[in-house]
Amino acid sequence: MNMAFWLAPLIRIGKAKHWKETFYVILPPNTSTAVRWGPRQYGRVYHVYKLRLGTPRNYNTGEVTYNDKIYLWMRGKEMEWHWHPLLESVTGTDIPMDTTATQRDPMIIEYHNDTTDTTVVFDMTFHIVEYNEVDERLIQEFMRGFINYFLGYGKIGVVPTPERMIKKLIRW
Amino acid sequence: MVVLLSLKNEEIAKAVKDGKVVILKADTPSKIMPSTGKVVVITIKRSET
Repeated sequence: MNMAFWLAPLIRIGKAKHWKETFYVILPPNTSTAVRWGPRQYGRVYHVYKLRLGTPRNYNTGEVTYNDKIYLWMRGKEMEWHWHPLLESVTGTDIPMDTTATQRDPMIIEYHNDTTDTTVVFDMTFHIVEYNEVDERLIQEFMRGFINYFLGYGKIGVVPTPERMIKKLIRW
Repeated sequence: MVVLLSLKNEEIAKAVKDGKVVILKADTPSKIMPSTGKVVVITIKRSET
């Protein structure tokens, strides 16, 4: 179950959009670089809930190339700097995330290819729910409603349920 | 991936030869801003039909 599923009611009423972004990266040997990635418009929020890294390949031959000298570092607003080596256990699988990127505070991705003779190509896909910054607090509250609901399941006096939050958002 | 490997156009080949990191992405509303190092972002524009 992903975040887009939980936010489906908000997507339906036009408060959020669900999409994904894929980019191909070609890394020549002995290169490292950093890029900032985020929405082009001010006031928009990318809420990244999933990342998938593709299999790294030799750009010239197309052969699969696993090597811990080929790696990424990345951070987001709510995500610590961390290392993503392009190894078997990390690539080809969904990596859950819960972080946001805005114009003011974009996600930062560092690419490293420390090999001396291999140009590497790989692809990566971010799964995103996008919304307006002014809606962020409401959306966080909406998501918290689910957490509270499940934490409070079976208990008396469950605090804001998703249903109440949907009604509140629609009125708003 | 086979499709990508066939995308060895001159711009990509030159950037790779110059030791630049190439990021290919589709025409999307996102912004990729090079921060440090040598990087070339090539946006693939969608054709209007």
